[in-house]
Amino acid sequence: MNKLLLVIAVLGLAVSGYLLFAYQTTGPMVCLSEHGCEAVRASRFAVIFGLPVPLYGVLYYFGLGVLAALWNPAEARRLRLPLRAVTGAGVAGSMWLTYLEAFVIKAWCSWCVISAVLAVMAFLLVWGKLYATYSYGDNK
Amino acid sequence: MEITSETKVTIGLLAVTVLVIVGGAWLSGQDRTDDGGVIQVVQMDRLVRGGSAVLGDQNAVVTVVEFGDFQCPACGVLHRVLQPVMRSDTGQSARFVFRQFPLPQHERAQLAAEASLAAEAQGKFWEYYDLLFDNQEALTRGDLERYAEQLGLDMAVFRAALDEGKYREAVQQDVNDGRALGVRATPTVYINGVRYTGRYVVEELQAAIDRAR
Repeated sequence: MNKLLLVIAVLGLAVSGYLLFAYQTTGPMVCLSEHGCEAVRASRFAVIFGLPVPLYGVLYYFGLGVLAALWNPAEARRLRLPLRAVTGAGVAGSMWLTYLEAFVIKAWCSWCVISAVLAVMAFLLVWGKLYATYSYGDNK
Repeated sequence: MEITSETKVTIGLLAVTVLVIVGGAWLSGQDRTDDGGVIQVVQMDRLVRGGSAVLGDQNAVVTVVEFGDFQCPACGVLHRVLQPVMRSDTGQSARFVFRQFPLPQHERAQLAAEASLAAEAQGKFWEYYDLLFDNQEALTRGDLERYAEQLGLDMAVFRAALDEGKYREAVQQDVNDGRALGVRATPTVYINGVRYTGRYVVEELQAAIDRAR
């Protein structure tokens, strides 16, 4: 089990889960950036390939959570590829959505930004040096 | 690969959480088609007032009413969607009404609302409305005057209206009507008295208007 990665996955599930609920209604949203969340939800990028965008987030964080739970140093080699694939896809998706917020929709959805930050953290943890020094030794 | 019981429990908890989230969200999306957004007939006169800014024929079959705020980003998104819908309605079977609903947290929205009514008094509401939504980040007093000048408004009358707060009460009446109808956020859109709960996408909005015909 990799606790740090699991914490990221649980936080991500909370954020994307809230967004998924909020996307099912048109009521006011809890948002750190005033009406930014509603603007993003109202945009044509709220639904991609017929599914609400937060659903992709929920599935991503679930996958990340399962991999974090399965993690142990002995299996590091076997889990490396799926972990790298999942976090790589997560970062790529987050970057694209953040780009849309900044330059196309021109509004910021605080929860989406938090999710993007979490995805970057997971990516760095898996791909970066942090992974080598922290995760190998510290987890059982 | 050896899987410990701790791992199994964790994965199980994650799976249950995801099922609750997805299932719950799906269920809450199901009862979106309730009639909670329908305005009682007695309140219909609150939706459009004699002095409201109207685009289109008085006898149009469909009436689209927006309660909006010139400084709210979501209203800006809606504007970009509404514009092509309004322009494509060449048959004049729909009319569009804009009601002011400046939110207190938007410090420039109130004056922008009053300015738009000052433009309305000179017959240029919709041109002015387009300018404000196209320039949502620039809504200072100076900006508001600049847009009015662009449209060739009588600046003495326009400035005097803003100085005197001539349209403050009219804005307040829109806000009061909105509150009475249950408007809590901007933009709130009604199509023939039914609150529009779809997304702000041209096709979807157009379809909702077509259904009301």
